[in-house]
Amino acid sequence: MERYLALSIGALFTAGFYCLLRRSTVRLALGIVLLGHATNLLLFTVNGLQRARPPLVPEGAEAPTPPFADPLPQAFILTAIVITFGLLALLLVLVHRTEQAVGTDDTQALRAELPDSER
Amino acid sequence: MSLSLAFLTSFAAAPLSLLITRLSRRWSGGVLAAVPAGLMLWFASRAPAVLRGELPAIDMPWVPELGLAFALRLDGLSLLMALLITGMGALVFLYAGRYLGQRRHLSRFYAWLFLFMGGMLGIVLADDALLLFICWEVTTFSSFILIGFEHKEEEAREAAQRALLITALGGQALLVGLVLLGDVAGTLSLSRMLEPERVEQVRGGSRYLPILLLVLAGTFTKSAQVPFHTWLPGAMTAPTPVSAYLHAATMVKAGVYLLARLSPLLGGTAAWEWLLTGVGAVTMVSGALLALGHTDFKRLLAYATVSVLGALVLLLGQGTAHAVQAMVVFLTVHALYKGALFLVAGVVDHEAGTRELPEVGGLLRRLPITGAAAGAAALSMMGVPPLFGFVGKELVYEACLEGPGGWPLALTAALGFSLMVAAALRAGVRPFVGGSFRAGKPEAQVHEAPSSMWAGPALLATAGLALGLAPKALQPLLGAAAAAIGGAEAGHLELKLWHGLTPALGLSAASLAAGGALFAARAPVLRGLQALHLERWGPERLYQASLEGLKRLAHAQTRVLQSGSLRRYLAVTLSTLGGLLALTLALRLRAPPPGPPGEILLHEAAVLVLMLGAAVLAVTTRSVLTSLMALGAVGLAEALLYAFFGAPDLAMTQVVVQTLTVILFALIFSRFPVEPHEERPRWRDAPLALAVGGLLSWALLHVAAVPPHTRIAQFYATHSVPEAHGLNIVNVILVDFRAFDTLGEVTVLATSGVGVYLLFRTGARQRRRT
Amino acid sequence: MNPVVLCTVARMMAPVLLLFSLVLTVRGHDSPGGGFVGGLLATAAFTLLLVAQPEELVRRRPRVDPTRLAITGLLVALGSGLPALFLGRPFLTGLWAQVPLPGGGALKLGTPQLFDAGVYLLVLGTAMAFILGLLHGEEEEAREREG
Repeated sequence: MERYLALSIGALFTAGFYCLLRRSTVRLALGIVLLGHATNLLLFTVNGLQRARPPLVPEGAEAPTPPFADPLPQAFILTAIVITFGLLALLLVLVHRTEQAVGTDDTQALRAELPDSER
Repeated sequence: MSLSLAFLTSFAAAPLSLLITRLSRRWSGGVLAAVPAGLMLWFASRAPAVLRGELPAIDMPWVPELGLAFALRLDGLSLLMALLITGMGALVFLYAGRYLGQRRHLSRFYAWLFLFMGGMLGIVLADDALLLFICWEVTTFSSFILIGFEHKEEEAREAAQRALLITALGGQALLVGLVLLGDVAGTLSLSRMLEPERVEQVRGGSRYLPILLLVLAGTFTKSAQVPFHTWLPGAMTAPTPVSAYLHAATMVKAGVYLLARLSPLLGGTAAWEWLLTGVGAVTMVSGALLALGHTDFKRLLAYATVSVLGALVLLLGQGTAHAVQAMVVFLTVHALYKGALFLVAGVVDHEAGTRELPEVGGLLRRLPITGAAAGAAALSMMGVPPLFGFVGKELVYEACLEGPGGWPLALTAALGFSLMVAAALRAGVRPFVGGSFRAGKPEAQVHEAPSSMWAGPALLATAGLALGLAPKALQPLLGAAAAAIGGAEAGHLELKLWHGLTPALGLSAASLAAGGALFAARAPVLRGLQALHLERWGPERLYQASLEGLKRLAHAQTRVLQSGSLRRYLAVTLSTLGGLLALTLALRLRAPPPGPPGEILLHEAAVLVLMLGAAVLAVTTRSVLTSLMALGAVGLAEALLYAFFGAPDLAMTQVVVQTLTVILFALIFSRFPVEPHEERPRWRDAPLALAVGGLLSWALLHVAAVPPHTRIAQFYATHSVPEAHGLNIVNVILVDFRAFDTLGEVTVLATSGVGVYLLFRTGARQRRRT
Repeated sequence: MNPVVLCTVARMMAPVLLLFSLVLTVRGHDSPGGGFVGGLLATAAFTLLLVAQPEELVRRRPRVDPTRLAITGLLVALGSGLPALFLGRPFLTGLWAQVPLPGGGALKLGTPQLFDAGVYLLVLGTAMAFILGLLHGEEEEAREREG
């Protein structure tokens, strides 16, 4: 299963990278979401997948009964999901404000807004 | 008063200068001169102990992890240098108070001068190689500031930049050399490096030559040896007190000092002897030649200084006991007469309003005291008996004759000295006794300088005369300095005016005669030299070319890397990522990961197909709404995968986040012009994205072939109930085991919330205003 | 969908979702859930109300500033680490106590639960700041176009 997932993650990354390279900042935001998905799945897959019980200890026991899924990547991904959400929100608001101020969402056109010395 | 206090005093005095200057500009120089003068008296009071061999020293750990110690030590050589630094310092402060009295930023000038003095004292007192390097850089930097003191002038800025580039680059080489040296010797303490077994280790080791070359790079740049000398004449844009102090008497000798300090460790090898003697000889002759060809008072003196520095390096290269003695004596001689001549140059500039030598003449009537001091200093520079310069020059000739260099070297030195004699006559004698006054200012308006300005040159010139007549007075101190470099044998120094009829005396007389003849025939010689434009050759060209090249490189790099195009930045980043991945995979893992493809259940396959299909749709569709729906599908498929593989927390979070994400996008797009600028698909981007994505897949396939690591999971599984009282291990990790981590992450989240809030608030305010 | 139906459903669903988010947070230490997902779910509940009843939004601004809520959450999370410091243990070390309940059972209380509550408030506040910011921005723009 890891192998299939590895290929799928690569495909998600490809889609995300392609979106990043578009001119539209909206596409850029889409790309970031896709990259977030891909990265979270990568973390999830890296240490092996188990079609197993969640890492929960049964009531009254001291430790979960194997096989159970690795809890550490899950903890990482949980915060990563939420942080990606925060990043995306900030990016969207920035895109929105830029659009309000400059009137375009085209990164090439934004470049033209720079003074000559900074281009 | 301890050694460390003496070292730190000048740093402490730097802020004091701001206060004093505010109280009285007129007297500030005299008042502040009390600081170096007091320091000089303290160092002089240590002399008896040092001469007896009781060396004051302190050694405190500073940054032990780096092996950095605050270690100071006062031996004969350090004492001699410290006396020169503080003594000259006192005269220069006194002088600067009048010379720069009306300039702006006078207090800043004093502060930098104090900082320099502290750094310079640190160099000669430090017993720790890294401490020495730090002080070395302090002097480099304060020299940069002082050269560029008239920073509104293009020339001063250019000269300051050049001095900084050359000496700081040398400083970097020196740092590497010192660290290597410390590594090989096993200690950074300069005195402990001289223990016999450590010396053996350094000299016999395979890293001896790199160490030597790096240290030489540092010392040669600082002491203006050919081909690194080009910064020193430029440094003459600094106010004259700075030229006299930093660029004649003290800082440029730092390189010579360090070479002397390290000569028992690194010296005595063929490489040392040839490099130092060769570079020193070339520097000595070419410096004197360039000096002769110049008409600017200060530039002439600067090139003469280059020549003397070459002579000092040459003597260290010879390395015999006599050579070391001659080096110490000649260094002292030079500090006295060159300091005096620079201060005289300042007086002439100040009073006659020009530094061009051909424009002034017969100044002795107008500036009697200054003129007398200049004459005495010039005679010392020429090596005329009975001045101290004669004593020094005799020793140099003797050392050359006795050393491995023999007659060829002695004749080279004689050539250098002959040129110097002519230069000394042009600078120190002719402006005062011969010629006519042709400067812009009427001659009648030229007056003798105030006493605080002539005091310095007069004192230094008198010292040169007195020491020539009674050289024994300095014999113990100079002997102790020589002993610190060359051991007990070099310590047996005997200074006398009359050595008898020796070959050295003959060379001395010959060089005087040749120099005199050269001066008499100076007109054609000067024309010839000036026609050659010597200073524009070689190193100067190289420096200009490399500076231009550097600028062009920077421009080109900025054009390529800072294009302002987001897509190009991303393309560069992605290409780098892909390139590094490909390189790693190519180097480490050639074979594709073996093994069966592994099993996949039907529902898992269905979810994967759904996810990929949705991703493709999200990327390719032209409708924003469609791509939004597709994006939601990708997220939900991801949540399902989490659910299949034992991560209910993730599945839940993913579902909620996906919902909110779609809402956010929808809110934004509700008033966004949909797809305003989507251009034709660009086929250049697709292969790049595909290549990097494919490489990531490839790497992940390799990772998947590695058996999973279970020790950490096992730790959390067995500890979460007994220690953290929680059944949900994921949550326990988040809020207990790794709570600090989580705290950091939620802080990031809160920060982005504040960012959004601020963006809207400023936006609202701007709209209200318009 | 009929706005009236949507409104009714939203009004019914929102409190349920809110309650569920609290349960998820409190039970998060022992079963799937926790402050992150709880906070997000609460945001979803409020967002549902806002989207279903835009006129509510115009009439009544929220009584609690979401940014302030987020900062409060951050302070609560930070504060949950302090008791351990007073006992000379490393910052954020979990401390637990068993409170006996009438009827034989015992309730376990600990600073990590407080930490999770802080995370809940923080996530709720931040996410609401995003949503409200965008909604209000839109609203202001609309008002500008009219006036």
